[in-house]
This record gives sequence, C-alpha cells and structure tokens, in this order.
Amino acid sequence: MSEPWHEQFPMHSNQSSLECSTKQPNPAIFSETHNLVFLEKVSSQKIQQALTLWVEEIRAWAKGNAYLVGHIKIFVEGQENLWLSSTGRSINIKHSQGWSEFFAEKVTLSVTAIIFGPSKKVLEEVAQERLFVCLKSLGLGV
Amino acid sequence: MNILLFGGFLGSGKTSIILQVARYLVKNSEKGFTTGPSDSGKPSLVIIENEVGETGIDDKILKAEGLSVRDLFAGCICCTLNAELTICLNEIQEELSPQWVIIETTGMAFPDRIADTITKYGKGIDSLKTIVVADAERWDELSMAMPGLIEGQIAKADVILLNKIDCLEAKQVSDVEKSVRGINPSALFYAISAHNEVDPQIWCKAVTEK
Repeated sequence: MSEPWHEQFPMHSNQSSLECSTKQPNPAIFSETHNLVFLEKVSSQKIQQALTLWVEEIRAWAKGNAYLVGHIKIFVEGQENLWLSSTGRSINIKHSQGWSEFFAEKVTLSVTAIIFGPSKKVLEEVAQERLFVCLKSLGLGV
Repeated sequence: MNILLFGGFLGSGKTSIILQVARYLVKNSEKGFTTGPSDSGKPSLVIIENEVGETGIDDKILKAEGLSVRDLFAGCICCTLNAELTICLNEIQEELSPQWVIIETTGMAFPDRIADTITKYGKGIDSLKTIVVADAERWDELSMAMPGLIEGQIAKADVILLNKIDCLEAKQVSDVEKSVRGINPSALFYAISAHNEVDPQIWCKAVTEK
C-alpha cells in the first residue's frame, strides 16, 4: 500500500517571492489532445462508454494509491460535444443536444488528469497506457 | 468593464457555474438590460481562462457555447501569471472594451492576490467582484489536505458559492456552511447545485448587484 499522497509529493520551491509566497503542493498533470479519425463511423454511445471507462480507471488507480484527485476531465469535440469530469467521486456527464444520436467519423479528444501524489512520469505512463487500451477497444487509432 | 474573478479549488465546479453566469448575462443582454453586443459586433462578455496543462479543456467547453474566450496557460499554477493576466486584460479593454469580463483562475490560485494586481494595474475597470466556489462534497477532505489554500481562497471573497449541495444531506450542508462562513462571515453566501439550473435571482444578486 502506498503512503498517503500528502506525505510524499514534492513541495513548490523555485518561485520568486514576487510570484509565489505560499508553498503549495505541485500536482502531477497529464494533459493531451488527439485528433481521432475512425475507419468506420462510431456511435456516440461507444465513445462515451470507452472514455467513461478511462475516467473510472484513473479514478480507481488514484484511490488505490491514496492519491488526491484534483480533477479528471475529458472533452470530445466534433459535430456534437461530450464533457466528462470527476473529482474522484461520481462522474459528471454532459453533452450537446444531438450527442445521443451522433455517429462520428472524426473528433478531437482532449484529456486532463490532475492528481496529487504520483510523479508526472508515473501519471503519464498510467494515463497513456489506459487511454490507449480504451481507444483500441473501440477500434480507434490515436 | 465589470470583472468577475472566479476562484476555487480544482473540480469545485467553476466552469459549470461560469457557463450559467455567462448565459445569464448574455440572456439579459438580449433583453437589453445589462449587456449587449455593440454596433461594431464586439462581444460584450469576454472570458479569460487560466488553465494548467498543455491542452485546455475549459476554454473549449466555453467556446463550444459560442462564448468569446482568451486562454492563458499557467507555467506555475499557484502564481497564476499575474503579469500576463493584467496584460491580457488591458488588451481586451483596448480592443473590445466589453461590459463584462469573467476570469477563471486555476484551482490552485489565491484570487485575492490576483484581484490586488488587477486593481493596481488594470485599466478601465468599473467594478471587480471576487467569487469563490467551494466544493461542498469534498469540503472536509480538502480542508484537511490543504487548509492553507482552501481557507486562503475563501477568506477574502466577495461572494461564496457553496456548490454540489445535492451530494450532501441537509445537516451536512448546514455543517459545511457553518465552517465556510466561519472563515469569511462578511461575504455574500449562496448554497447551490450547478448540476441543475441555478435560480437566476441568485445570479442577479451575486453577480450583477453592486
């Protein structure tokens, strides 16, 4: 079992007093944008399921390691839009009006996870690996 | 230029609330009450997004709603690019001179410090209101984990929006409210759930009343 997040992350140390006079913990940040082009049209439901699974997996990984989730966010931008967000508890799902009937040929996917506890490298490895699996399960290529 | 400076920890619901506030202000502009596009077609409401990470998400969400958004990507998320923000604000004033500017700070920022800088160096500012969103669902967890930041964000707010009250029982909301008000008793306080449509009367009092 890992140590609680607040006992292991590095403190902020390299800012001038003019910019930053209060030391706050630095979270690890994973943030990427991908233009996805599908071989065949994919239903919005499938996309939503795959990306919700990614959020669930990052959330479970953070919880399992006693990390503090800043936030996990996803935005899918195409003819219709999908917005997923979580602070490590429930997952909020919002979408544009026509999302439910939408079949996508291509979308832009933006993902961000801000987590207190792991190093940036560890978060990136976990987040990228699981994102790849989620997208691959749909037959998507990043 | 009337500035609404939004603060609050990561995941507290700032972007959801800003969407509702922006819709409220735009709707009122259509009625001709408070704002409205000028004859030149310039937007009467501009949002400045200060985000962390290589790619922004909140700015895309707001742009997808047809709102005018400027991005500022923070190198250091607690310092919040004070100088860049002031420059951006002054550019907006010179180019567009909108009636409203909404600034969404990063979840690690201390809004009062940004407000101090803007007040000192900003041009053409008619009013500035600091609105801090507190996460009712995670209040206990975050207060324990980062008391300095959470209390520091709330301590000097003009308006406090206790969000996500739908996630708690009434007694729990009451306890959190007591705790929040204890940090800043003088701020206007509203308990809301931005998951649903918030009563426009709240926006009227919290946002537009001076």
